[in-house]
Amino acid sequence: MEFIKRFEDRAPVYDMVHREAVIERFSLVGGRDEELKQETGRFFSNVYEIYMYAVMLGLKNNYRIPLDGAKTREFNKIKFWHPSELVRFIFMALVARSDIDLNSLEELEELEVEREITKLKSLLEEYANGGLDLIHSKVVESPYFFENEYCFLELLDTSSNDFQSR
Amino acid sequence: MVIKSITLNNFQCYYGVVKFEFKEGLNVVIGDNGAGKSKLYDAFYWVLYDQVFDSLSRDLTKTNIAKGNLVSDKAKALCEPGEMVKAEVEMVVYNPRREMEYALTRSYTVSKNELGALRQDPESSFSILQTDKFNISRPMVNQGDIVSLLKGILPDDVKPYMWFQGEQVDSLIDFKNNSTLTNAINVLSDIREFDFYEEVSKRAFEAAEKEYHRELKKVSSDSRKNEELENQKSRIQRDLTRLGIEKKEAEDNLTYAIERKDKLLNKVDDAQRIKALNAKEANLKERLKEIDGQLVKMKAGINKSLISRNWVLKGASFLVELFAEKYDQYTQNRNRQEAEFSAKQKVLEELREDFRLPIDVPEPIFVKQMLEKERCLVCDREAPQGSHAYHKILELIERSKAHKQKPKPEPITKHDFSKEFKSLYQNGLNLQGMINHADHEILTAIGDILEWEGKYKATKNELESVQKEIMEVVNASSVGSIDSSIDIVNEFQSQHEAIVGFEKKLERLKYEAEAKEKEGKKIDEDLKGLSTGKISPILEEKKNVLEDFRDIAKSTRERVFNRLILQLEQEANQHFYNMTAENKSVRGRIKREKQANGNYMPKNLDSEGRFLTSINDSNIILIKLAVIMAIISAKKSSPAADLYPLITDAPTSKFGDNYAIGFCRVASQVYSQSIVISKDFYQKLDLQQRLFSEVGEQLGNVYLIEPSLSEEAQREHREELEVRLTKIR
Repeated sequence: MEFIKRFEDRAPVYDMVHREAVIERFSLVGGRDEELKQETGRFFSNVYEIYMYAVMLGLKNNYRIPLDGAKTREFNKIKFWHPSELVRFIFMALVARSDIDLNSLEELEELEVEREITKLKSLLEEYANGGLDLIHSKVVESPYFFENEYCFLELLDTSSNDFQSR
Repeated sequence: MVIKSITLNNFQCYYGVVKFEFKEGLNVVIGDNGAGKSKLYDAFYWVLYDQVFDSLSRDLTKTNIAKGNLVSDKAKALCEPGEMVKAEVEMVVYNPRREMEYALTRSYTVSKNELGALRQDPESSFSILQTDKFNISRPMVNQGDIVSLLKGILPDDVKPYMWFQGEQVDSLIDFKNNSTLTNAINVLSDIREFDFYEEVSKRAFEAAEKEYHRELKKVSSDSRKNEELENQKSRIQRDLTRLGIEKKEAEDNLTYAIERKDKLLNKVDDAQRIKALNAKEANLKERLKEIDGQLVKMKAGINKSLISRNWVLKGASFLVELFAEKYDQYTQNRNRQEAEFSAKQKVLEELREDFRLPIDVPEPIFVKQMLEKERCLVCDREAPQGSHAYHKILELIERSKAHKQKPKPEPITKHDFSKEFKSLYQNGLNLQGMINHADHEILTAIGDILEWEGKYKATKNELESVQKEIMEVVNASSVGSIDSSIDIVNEFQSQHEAIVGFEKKLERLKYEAEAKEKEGKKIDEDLKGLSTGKISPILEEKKNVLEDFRDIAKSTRERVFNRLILQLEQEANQHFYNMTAENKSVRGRIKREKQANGNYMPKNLDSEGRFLTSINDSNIILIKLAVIMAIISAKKSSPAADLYPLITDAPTSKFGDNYAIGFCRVASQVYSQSIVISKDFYQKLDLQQRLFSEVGEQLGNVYLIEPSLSEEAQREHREELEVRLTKIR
């Protein structure tokens, strides 16, 4: 598990432009209990949860935005994210979406492998950024959409068609 | 007494001399607002009681407070410095039995000094001039005579029922106070005479009984025993008195409890219903809270499941396929690489393994022995050192060493991530099954939520319906509020318990009293048995007669009172019916109800015998007027009652025209003389015509009073105000 472990040992970042409008609005920054989540009307208990949601949104819609020059913020290392099967799925999807040749990867020097892992982490951040951008845009365009309790479920459903036409 | 006339001279708004003459029967004084109706009523009151009604304090004011206000503003304005002006009212009454006429005059004087300042007398002055049938007049000076005359015109206790203003009627008969009617009957009927007879007969019997027992003692054979029995009798008497007091208290308490319970009777059903609805409301609120809590949890569960149940992967199955393509490529390449490597290794191995014997066969120790002995022990042939055979044996040792020192095979690639890639693929495949099932899971979860939302909505609707019902019941009933419904239910229950308790107590007291009376009679017998001589039969007869007299007086009083009440009910209903004959909307009749303490209460029932609770003010006042009239009619047999005149100011001010004519018609029949001061007929010629025709012969004089200034102008120019009087019949 060396390759995955090394990936999971990284702490990704998100673009600060999404912090207030998306991250803080919909998740409990710092991670709190479920009860507090209900009291505060948040949808996600941790930043990594909305981050995973955003990554999946980006991956499904193949929508990613590089964070070149963006002001970013680092948060939990991937190894602390839950549930693990979802984290692994995301990693799998990232590998699938990446241009990495798995056979070639095994032939690379140590340093080059490290570079590939860094590239995968960047890819993760780009897809997350894409997903966060989709949510952020929805917040701006249809602020009342998020009054609906099932908004993130619906966003998951409607996004494929809507966003792919962008 | 009959009021013949009243003359107002510079009294309040009446400037100069204004004289009203009255006859027996119904006299009516008609006037608009501000015409001087209330001032005319004041004039009657002032001349007799030295008081006028103060419209500011809404109370009666004595002359020493009202002072100069009693005098006409116009008269005061026209009064020259150094002169004085007097307000005076003269009322002439006639006593037909004595054939005497009395002129009662009250006057009050103010004067202007040379500078024009007003000086006000501290008090009014009052005088009576009596004139006999021979027209001989003399002033009445004896204070006792004066008091007696005033009482004859209108006794204080009767006054509230005979002289009243419209706004006072409501307080004359308080239907909530169970002794009001009894008080009115006591005042207006002859029943007090029976109370007197009852008391006298009771005392006479007690005195006769004492006298009888004294005689009995004198002729007793055993004075000690006699005294002992007398003492016992006294104790029994005391016990009976105590029981009587307890009985009275219990009756009063029972009456109060019944009265309270009756008052709540109309409300208690509603109150109980409200209480039950309130409990239902509380349950529904609790249920709603539970459902809401459940819904919050379920909805939160939806969002939680996005991550915890991996619903976020919904529609992401294709990513597994995408990875599978890459992984497939990888495994194919990997397999090929492994196959190639494996083949290469096999060739090398084969090249190394050109021996027929396996490694370490024969075992190395035998090989060493063979070398030492220079002989092959396998084929048992010579193998001298340096020979071909010797080298072959030596190779067996080298071969074993070489085999043991064989390096590990080279890896196929620099890194082997195959297991990780495989685990990623397997994880993807596992989740793919879940992804395909996610839609069903989500639909089920939302379906559950919709079901609970349906429950929430239904419960909320039920709650709103209950709340609406509560408000409707509260508004439609006289309960007042939800809180008071609880108080009502509780009080109703406690009054009910109190009634049961007092009834039991009364029952017990009754048995105790009966036992005591029986015991007393036994003592009387014993006392009689001790007698040695004869007691005067006159004395015994006297005692028996007075005992009968006492019992008869008591039962007669009760019979008269009950008859009076029955008559009262019938007459009150007749008056009520007559007064409301033209108004079909009026429903209900008056029913007297006996209380546990012997008092009667007038109650309003509808034609079905149910209590009326929502009748309007006018009807209540009419019922009260009808009750007062019934009491007056009941007393008609008494000569004195005939003579009390009714004077009322705006009695029907709260009623419609039909009520006013009804009231006048009935009043003309009930009262031997009545003076009704009213606005109802003002500028209503049709109504005036009806008054003339419907009252007929009983109609006395009818006057119209009109102010010289409008009500508005009166405020600005009171010094010009006077009242014009026109006799219209």
